[in-house]
Amino acid sequence: MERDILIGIDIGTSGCKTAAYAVDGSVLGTVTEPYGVQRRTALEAEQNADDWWNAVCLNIRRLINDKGVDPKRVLAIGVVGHSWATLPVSREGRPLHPAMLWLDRRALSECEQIKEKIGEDYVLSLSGNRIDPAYCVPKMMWLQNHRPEVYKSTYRFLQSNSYIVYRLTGEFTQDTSQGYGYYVFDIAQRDWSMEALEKFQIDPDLLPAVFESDTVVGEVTRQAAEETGLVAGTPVIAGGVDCAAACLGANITEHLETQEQAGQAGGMTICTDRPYRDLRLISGCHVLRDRWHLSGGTVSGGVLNWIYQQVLGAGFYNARRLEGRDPFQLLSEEAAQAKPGSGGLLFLPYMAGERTPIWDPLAKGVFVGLSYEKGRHEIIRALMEGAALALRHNLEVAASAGAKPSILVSVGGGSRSSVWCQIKADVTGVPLGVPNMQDGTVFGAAFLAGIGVGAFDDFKDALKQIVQVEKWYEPRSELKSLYDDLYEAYLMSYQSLKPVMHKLAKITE
Amino acid sequence: MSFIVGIDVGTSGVKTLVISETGEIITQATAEYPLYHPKAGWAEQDPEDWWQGTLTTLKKVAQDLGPKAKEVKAIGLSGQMHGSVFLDKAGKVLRPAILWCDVRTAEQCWYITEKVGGRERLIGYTSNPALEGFTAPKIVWLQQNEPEVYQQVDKVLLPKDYVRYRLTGEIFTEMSDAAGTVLLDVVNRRWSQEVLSALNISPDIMPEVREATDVCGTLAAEVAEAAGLPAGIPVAGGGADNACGATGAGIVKAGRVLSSIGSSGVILVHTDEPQTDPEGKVHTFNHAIPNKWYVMGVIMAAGLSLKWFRDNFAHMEKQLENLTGVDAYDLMSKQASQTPPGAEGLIFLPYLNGERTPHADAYARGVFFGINPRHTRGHMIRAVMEGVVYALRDSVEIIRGMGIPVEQVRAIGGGAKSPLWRQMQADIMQLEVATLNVDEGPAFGAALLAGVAAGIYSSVEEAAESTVRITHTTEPNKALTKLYDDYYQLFRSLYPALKDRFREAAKLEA
Repeated sequence: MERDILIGIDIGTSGCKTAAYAVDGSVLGTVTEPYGVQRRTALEAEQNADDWWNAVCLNIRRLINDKGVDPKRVLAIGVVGHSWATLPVSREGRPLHPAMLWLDRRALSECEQIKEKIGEDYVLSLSGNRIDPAYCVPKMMWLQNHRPEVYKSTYRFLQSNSYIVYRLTGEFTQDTSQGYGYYVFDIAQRDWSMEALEKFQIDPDLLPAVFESDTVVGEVTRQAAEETGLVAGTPVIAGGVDCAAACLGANITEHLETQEQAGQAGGMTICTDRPYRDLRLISGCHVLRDRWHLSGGTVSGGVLNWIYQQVLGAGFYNARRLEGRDPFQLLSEEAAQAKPGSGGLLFLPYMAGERTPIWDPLAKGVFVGLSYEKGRHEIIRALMEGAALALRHNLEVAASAGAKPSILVSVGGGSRSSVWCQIKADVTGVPLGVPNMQDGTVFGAAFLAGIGVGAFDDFKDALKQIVQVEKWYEPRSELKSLYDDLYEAYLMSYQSLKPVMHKLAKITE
Repeated sequence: MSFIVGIDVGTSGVKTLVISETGEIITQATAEYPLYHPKAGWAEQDPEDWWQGTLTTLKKVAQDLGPKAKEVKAIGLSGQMHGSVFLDKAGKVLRPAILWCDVRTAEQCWYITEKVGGRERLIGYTSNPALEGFTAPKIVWLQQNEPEVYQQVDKVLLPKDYVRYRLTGEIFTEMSDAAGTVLLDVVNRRWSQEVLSALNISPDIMPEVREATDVCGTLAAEVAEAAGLPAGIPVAGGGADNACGATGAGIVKAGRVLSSIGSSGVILVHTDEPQTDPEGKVHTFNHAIPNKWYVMGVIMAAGLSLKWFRDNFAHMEKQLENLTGVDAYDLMSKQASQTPPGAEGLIFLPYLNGERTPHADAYARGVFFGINPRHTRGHMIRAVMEGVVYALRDSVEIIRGMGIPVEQVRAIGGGAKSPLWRQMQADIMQLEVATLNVDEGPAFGAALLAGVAAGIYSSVEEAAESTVRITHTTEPNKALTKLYDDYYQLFRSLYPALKDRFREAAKLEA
């Protein structure tokens, strides 16, 4: 029987998405299984690795049983996942501690120690990243300091995708694209740095061997086959980080092409042909062998959800108007009634604190410039413009580091709003396209598996056949000076309000 | 039984009421008139409209009184402050009156301040700085921009004084309204010769200044006949709307503070001696009580802030109001009350159209600060209500800083009807907040002043104490002192942080 099905698995923060595709890109089925984040304290954010695995098993069985995916026809499996998860496992691959997530901020004092002993310059030049509790090495040190018995019995540290790869194949692996989570990973050489391991006094044996993301690292074991319904012997690749897979899935493969995530969490990922470094951004290896990426992660994407659900309330638009319609479409219609610049109303979208490029967990959302002439239309437009200004801020920092984006390709819920897309093009001055592929991350995982097993003669050609931009939004030059002024006001307002935001945090703590 | 008429010549209309000597409201009537904006920033009214409105309401209340109309013993007047009526020798109005809310006079304010020798000097002479809304800048504007009209000016009158002129044929003003001209020596209670001469304004065009409780003419026979009221009854000096509003709320003793949340917001405190804020952030005016003063701060968007939020975000509440008759504001209040004090870190600056006290900044704008994903519409409503009270506390703090005793708040205006807003005032100001048996605005105070003029009461104090009673008090929750102090300090630090940003944003508004 011909093997012509690729399975992609995405270990996300709120759940696991799993999808099966034919080699020509047609979707055979997509399923999602949610799981939670455990927060015992405000600083901690953990997941049980077994929850990931159970979700994977459930999803694959659903694909087979409900979507008619024939496991015998599965050609290869690709797993991607969220970054910076730190999971110590035993020799038998048993989790010794819950996985500490990218949201986990408990390793603050470990970060101070690294700054003092190693220095941020060294970390940036080697790993391309800043010192922050989100990263893996501070979390490893936290375990060493606070859970010494766990650290002592740890055989390997795994991440989100590598744990699932282990459960599928029994192999302990580390892929290049997730390497940037470790300060002992040399992103230029795409491998561990022995020098850095020594500096950090980390036993090299704790870290698995490194493979490029598309490498077939093993086959589905008999036990995994029993648990998932897959066929033993099915090839599995090393996989990689979700944002890079999402780029691949949106056909972002060339130097300076950029993917923009318009989901609950926003962000951008610039594909590059060499590593770029900036303390304010996130840098890493792409899931493609000769590519890197420079990324920004914001929390601004959820602002429309917030105003729709928390402020306007579900009953705001009467049911007849809403029937069968996307609420975000209605919000977009309102925003379209306000002038560009929202009449001078500015929104700082830092509602849940902000990551790149300001790295301020204490930042908050702010409207500046309310007046009688400005109402709901301006407020909704200002929310969209505020998120676009946050995107521009990231892009400008990347440009200052040498990576000036050529195009933006927008994915996620926000890309359904043509008003918002046009705002982003106008505010950033970069043409923005919306592709026909919306599940880019999980498709990217599956497609990467296809590359790994040599399913395509020329994978870029194959990708172009499957993923195309359906609509382009060009920046309007007549709005440039207005948005330049608004951007200036955006930067200045944050600077002016930062001390007050930090005071507020002290009160509300 | 004696009855007294009080008239308030407001901006949107005239309100006339009749009280018995015990302070009971017998009847009242209102008439509206237009406000003209011939150019951006201009605000004018036709004094004839005030007069016709007054006559209409007088006829209406006289009709309601029936035979008792014969027992009306006096008329008192109150009105919008600062408006300028220019009369020629024949008593004819030369041009539309320029109102308190007219902002054409920014340049004239600078001119006046410079001519008099600086801001400190001006405050020294008149106890107040020159603000766009005040009268002197309007007179100077006329000098400079319509000199042919200015040449014909025989007298400058304030709105209520013009109405009295039509009622009695007499031309007077009184201390409390004259104080808003920046031409009155508020401390020594006479026109400031220094300021008048510096501005080249002839003292002859200024009317004689009397006391609020002085008889300033009697009701002319032909007016009495037209209105259906007894001819010859005394018409008192009356007072400025804020002075009369304070009188009608019993702000006639040291320690009592008026907190009014209407469209705008007012904090007003009685003083036995003239006390001036050297920075001019709060106004010092003569009270409607002879030889007494008051200090006042004004915020531009109090109730208007909540109305703005309602009009933009509370469609559901408005629909429910139509269906159930429950006021949309009550439904909004209910949502706000389900969120904790301090709105979990959400702070609102109510500067939707600039601010007067304490910033005197036309560029200031509204702000929602500290938004996090937990915040709901209820939090936002609470933040708007709290923000208005923080802004009022600014005035209370300045007044406290001047050494003026602040003991009890008397809440009036639409905001006083909301138990939640009263509790916020008590908690944020950490003062007892009282509500009163009457909340009829300046017309009630004007009637009390007329009662003193007619000898029905021996003094303004007696008039107020015998008619105004506290019906309810709201005590501050001591457990919230620290929380609200912290948030208030944060509120205070936001304007200085954003002042320059507001100026830059002004060019984006165009």
